[in-house]
Amino acid sequence: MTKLLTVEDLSIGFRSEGKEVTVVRGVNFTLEAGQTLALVGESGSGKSVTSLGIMGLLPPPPQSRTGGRIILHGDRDTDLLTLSESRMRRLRGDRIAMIFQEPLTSLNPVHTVGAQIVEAIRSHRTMSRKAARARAVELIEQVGIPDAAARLGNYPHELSGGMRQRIMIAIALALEPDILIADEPTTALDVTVQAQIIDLLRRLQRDTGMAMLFITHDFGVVADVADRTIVMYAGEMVEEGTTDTVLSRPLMPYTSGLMNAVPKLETAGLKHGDLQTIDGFVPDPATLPEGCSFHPRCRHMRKGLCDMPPVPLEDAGDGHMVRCKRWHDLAETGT
Amino acid sequence: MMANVATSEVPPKHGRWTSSRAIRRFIRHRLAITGLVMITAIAALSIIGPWLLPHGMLEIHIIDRFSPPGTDTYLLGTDEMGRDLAARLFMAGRVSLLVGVAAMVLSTLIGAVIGLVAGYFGKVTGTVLMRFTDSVLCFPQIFLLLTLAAFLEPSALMITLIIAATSWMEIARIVSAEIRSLRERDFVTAARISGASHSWIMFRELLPNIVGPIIVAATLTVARAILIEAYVSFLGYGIQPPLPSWGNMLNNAQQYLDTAPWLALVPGVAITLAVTSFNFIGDGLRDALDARSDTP
Repeated sequence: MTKLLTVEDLSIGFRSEGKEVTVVRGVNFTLEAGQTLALVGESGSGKSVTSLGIMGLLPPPPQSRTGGRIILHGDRDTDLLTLSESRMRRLRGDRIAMIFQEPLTSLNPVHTVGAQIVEAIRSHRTMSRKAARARAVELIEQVGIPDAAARLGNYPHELSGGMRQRIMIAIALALEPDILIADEPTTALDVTVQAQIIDLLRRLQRDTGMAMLFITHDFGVVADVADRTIVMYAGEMVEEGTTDTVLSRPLMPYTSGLMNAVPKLETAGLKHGDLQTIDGFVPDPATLPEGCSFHPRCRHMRKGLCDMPPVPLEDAGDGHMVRCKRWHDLAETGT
Repeated sequence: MMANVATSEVPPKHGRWTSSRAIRRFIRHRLAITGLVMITAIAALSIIGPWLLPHGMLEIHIIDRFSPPGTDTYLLGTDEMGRDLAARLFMAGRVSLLVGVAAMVLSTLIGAVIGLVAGYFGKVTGTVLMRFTDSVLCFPQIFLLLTLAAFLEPSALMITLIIAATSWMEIARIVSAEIRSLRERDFVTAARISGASHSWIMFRELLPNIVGPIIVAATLTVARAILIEAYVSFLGYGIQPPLPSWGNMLNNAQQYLDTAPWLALVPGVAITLAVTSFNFIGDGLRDALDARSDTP
């Protein structure tokens, strides 16, 4: 497998009102060609900030501070965190592309979608307008929009949400990137469209062999797309493994809690079928609890153990990593 | 009646929904259309008028001096040297309109660029630029204008530059305010993600989104520029005779106000018509381009 992107010990902090707050700590992962990695977590767990870090779109220091390395193509010299802005700009949209949550507002309302695709191509390649247009038609067909040539002249407001997300995907794929970061690409879409978009992304991945980093909070989507899954909580990786292992045998109480919090059709409306939730909120990154950052919300918290640092990421076998001091006894008692 | 209204609201299949709606709204704005017609008429007369008249603007017919409007071939009468007032009025119209429009173009350019940069970059750059804008705005425009005019050689070009230099601030503020809210939109992030440079985002992504407010402000700037040119020329610092402008025609006329009032009335009415027309057009454009207004 070709390693396309390696994130090593990534940490990201922001400075606000003189205080520095670290929102991502010690994140490690590798993206391989043709593979999909899911980053799962609640809002505020640091998953989107991680993706912005990869794109080099964090506010410039001193407002933000980064540590660790993000290595592209296994080339130790291209650390995306230290790359100059002009080189980074050439990589963005070309080698690394990104789609995100709001297809409704991600397209410029005053340009036709054709113009937007054409400009995305021409900003990275010297290509005639005509050739770029032909490529745009090809791309629109590729993302499954009928009557592609006519669509080029449409303005974003003339298209539905699903169509717009397809256009965003077409723009992202215009230059055949190695890596596609998808930041909750289906959250704003309804369920049927969601399934179509996910199918589309998987098909495109098969065709192009790109690596995908899929950021989501939806375990249903994770099961559909991801080969490996990382669960993040309060800026840390708390569980990592192949999607099958993580979903079938979650070791971290947070992961199982998140999975139980997904509404299920079978129990909906029944007396015992009330939606299980995780009490409390994601902690403020400025005042993280001592020890395991999840312990104040954890049902299995044990005083004197869980609130004592350090809490290392441990291997539970076959590369299934978990950050929990009690994973062993919890796995045995079968929770 | 109701059915009529409902059917007329079906947007055309092709073409831009916003612009066609805006155009329909503009056409329905009666004052704006009146303004547009008047400006067109004034501009047309200024351009071709001098050729249609029997007298040149500098021809002196001392015998016919102070002829009231309608005498012989003097459509609007003559001035104290017997020059045809109509010819002078139309030539002055060329100068005044040209100065007004040129000053508008210049000040819109300056204002838009400053506002764009300030609004897009924000932070220190934005603060410095906008505080500079505010500080220029603090000077009473007329004093700034007269001071500049007194030091610089008065000519049509110079007066244009001076007017532009003292009237770009409002556009800068409008643009920077609009950009500050627009730059937070997702399509800007999307553009950055696809590798667009700052200048690309500013001029190709953001600027087209605020053409509406800029056009409105620019139209109102023409009206103001014409007025400013008129009063600077009236005070004798602007366009210098024998080149006529509506302002210096007024200046000339004030000594004969009791004996030949048409000398003041004619250019005065011209100024009033031009300025109000531009203001009407501006108001109409504002209503038509304002996305928030509900009228279809």
